[in-house]
Amino acid sequence: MASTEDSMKQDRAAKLLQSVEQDSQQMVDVSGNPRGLLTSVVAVSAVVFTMFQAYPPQAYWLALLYLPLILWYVLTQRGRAKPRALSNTSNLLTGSYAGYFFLCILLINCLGFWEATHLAEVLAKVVVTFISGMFLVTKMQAAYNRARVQDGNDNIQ
Amino acid sequence: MTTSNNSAQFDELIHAPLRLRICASLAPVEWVEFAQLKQNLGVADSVLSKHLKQLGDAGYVRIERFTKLGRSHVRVSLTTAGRRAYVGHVAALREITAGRRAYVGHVAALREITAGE
Repeated sequence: MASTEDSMKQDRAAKLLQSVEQDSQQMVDVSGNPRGLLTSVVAVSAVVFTMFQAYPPQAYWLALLYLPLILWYVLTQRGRAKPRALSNTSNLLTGSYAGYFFLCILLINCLGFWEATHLAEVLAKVVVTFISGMFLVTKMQAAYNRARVQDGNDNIQ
Repeated sequence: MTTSNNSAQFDELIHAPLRLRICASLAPVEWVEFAQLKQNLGVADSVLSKHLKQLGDAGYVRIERFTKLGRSHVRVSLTTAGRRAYVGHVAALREITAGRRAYVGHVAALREITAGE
């Protein structure tokens, strides 16, 4: 039977591991892109993707919407912690991240078949693209963050 | 080169809670600015400086000071030796808790057996 001293040591080790996980996760969140930027990229992409298909030549100027997002991205990188490159990408490529990435490609291809012509249809397509895109991108981001925490705590580069 | 650590090694220097938290914060990044690290950990400048100096003296942490656009910045990063020591220490902590999980599982199995009787 484990002695009380051993039990206390194990409890302390468990608490320290929990703290390690929290601090690493917090740093990963801080060094990653802000949530608002991610949401904006998905929203703009949903609009641009739908409008490009609905009104091909006239809607090309909408690509300019990416310019403020690029500026926002550049500004957020200033003074931000530099993320460490993943040294072991096999977990990422065989895990849920890759699964959601392929779902994203599938979604884009499937939405290509939906030919929205009326304004109501176009709006519905933008909303559907945004919601499904946001769901998949959030899942991919969470899987990537988990991989970064695990890589930082398990691998020596 | 990628080296997955399998050698768990307890490190007394890293084991102090705040130093472990510093290493845990530095693990997923290449470098972080002192101000951001301080904000992440929620500690005072002096406390963080003291612990960073101890880690730096042991060769676990690299502290770079530089000036950019007239403002001075301090960047902190884990060295290879620091990363190795940290990963080994985390592995050692996992081994300790694995012993606990094995014990808890054993007790649960014994309870099931006695409940069956």
